Amino acid sequence: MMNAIELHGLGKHYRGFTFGPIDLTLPSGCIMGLVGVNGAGKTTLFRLLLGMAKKEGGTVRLLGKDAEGNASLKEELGVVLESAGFPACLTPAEIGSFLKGCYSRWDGKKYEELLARFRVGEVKYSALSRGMKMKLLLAAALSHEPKLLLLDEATSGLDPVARQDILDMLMEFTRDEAHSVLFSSHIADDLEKVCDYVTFLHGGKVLLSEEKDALLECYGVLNCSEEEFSEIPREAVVSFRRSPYGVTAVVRQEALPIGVQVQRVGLEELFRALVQEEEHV
Amino acid sequence: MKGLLKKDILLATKTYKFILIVCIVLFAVRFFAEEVSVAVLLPVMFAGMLPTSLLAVDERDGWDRTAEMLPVTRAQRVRAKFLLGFLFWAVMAALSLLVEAGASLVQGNFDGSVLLTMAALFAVAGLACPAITLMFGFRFGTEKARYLYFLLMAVIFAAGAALFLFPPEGFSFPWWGSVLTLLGAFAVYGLLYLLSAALYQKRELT
Amino acid sequence: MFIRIDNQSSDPIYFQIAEAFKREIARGGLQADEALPSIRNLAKDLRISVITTKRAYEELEKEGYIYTVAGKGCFVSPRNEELVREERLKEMESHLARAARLAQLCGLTKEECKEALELFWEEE
Repeated sequence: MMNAIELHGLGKHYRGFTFGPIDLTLPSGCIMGLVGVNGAGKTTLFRLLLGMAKKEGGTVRLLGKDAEGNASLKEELGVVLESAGFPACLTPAEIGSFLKGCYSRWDGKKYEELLARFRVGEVKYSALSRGMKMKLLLAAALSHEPKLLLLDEATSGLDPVARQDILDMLMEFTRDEAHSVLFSSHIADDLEKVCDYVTFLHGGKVLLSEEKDALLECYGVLNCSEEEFSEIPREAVVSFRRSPYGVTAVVRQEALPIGVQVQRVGLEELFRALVQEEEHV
Repeated sequence: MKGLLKKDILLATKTYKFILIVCIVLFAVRFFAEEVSVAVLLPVMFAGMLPTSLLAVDERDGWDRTAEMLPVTRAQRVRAKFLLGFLFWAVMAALSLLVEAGASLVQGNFDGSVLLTMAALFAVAGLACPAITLMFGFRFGTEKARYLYFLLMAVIFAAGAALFLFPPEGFSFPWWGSVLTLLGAFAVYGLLYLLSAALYQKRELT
Repeated sequence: MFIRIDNQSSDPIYFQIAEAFKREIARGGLQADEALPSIRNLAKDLRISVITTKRAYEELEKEGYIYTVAGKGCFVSPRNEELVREERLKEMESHLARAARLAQLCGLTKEECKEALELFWEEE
């Protein structure tokens, strides 16, 4: 199967910030989580993918086709951006009525079902809460039979119930192997639940892009005494924290001496450790 | 692109009902007035400014970003605005001319060439000039274009007022002059559309 | 079928899943040539990555517990009759060892223990 997303050498210079060049691949049928602090370049990546910002070099291939200047490709994309919005004075039903004329495969019934499922009220867009606005954008994004979902911070600012709702939706979406998702968040917890692949973005560069479970298996959390810690080789330690009661370190399993027991590391913790390591180098 | 047109029409009907009422009042005033006043230009100018106002609303709502996700090219988005602009103008111009014709018939001073001149004036003031603001709006964003908008409105109004207060000898142009002006305005409108589309393609939305 | 994933365990998730299937097959809960859930559905139902379920199935296939039919999915290998027997033998042996230990604790002789076994054998 072709890749859902293929980026080669994608880059752009901004004043005071250089994005890329980055390479990224998302195999079809998978969910990729994009983690990064605010300002790491997550939103820039989406803008470049969609052609909102003009890239300086590199290629963007979505669903096997070149994305440059290809507006019809967007029939297959379901997009939710944090900065996007609908006309303030229109209601969800009115919005649906004109979106119908924008997409060739608009499914009005599905749109209504999603609105009902998300409990989006039939009020003016501006009267909706932030969470509801995001859900409306998501409903619209899902209602034209997209193959690839691009979600930028679609769960930020939402309560845990709403977030879980959306994550559930993404899992359902990818039961079909032709469906893929690229989803960015600074809430690593959300990504840890649903992702197949995870990409760490920092300072406009890709720190790593791996299968999530394999990645988490390579690292671990070590809780030990000061003496035990001194026996751990330097290259095994990604980051560590001292307290009066011992040392907590994020470590690379393969560089550890045999017999050292570690606990499973969470995505958030690993990300922080790697960023810390990167900044100290 | 059909969806875009529908959205703008929905927005226009929801947001600008007030302007429609003002226009109806102006029509009524003209109908019962003795003379033509510069206010006859107002309905078409309002209509001409609608696309720019709608573009400003788009920016304010974040819709211009949302539209980037849709399978419509930027050129099509520009086209939708210009098409709508022409439609609104045509409706207002037609209504204004009808009212004018009706009023002058009632007052017994019906003059076809005056109507033609008015049509030409409508095209210049209500179609071509506001389109310049629309083009600026696409290129620089409506915030910046707003200054131009006010300037343009002021200039048009002043020129219009001057024409009405101090009509040159033989107020109505030779008919072919009016027709030429009319067509010229349409041509300028078309050119401004093409220019806007080209400029908008290059624009980076932050 | 019951699968429990321990996030705190040092065993990788794919390993835990593979073990769960091995146990189920040995137990006889999954019959020979029975279809396994698709890797996608399994992943989504367990709320884990499809890559992990794929890996679990690859492990199972490598060790001979399952086989794949292109386009149809994965099925339990019939060879597992032997594996089931082996599992059961192991279980029996551990039960016998425990019985012997308990008998000794109670002060029974080997002969008394054998008698008890015969009694139970007749009942089955």
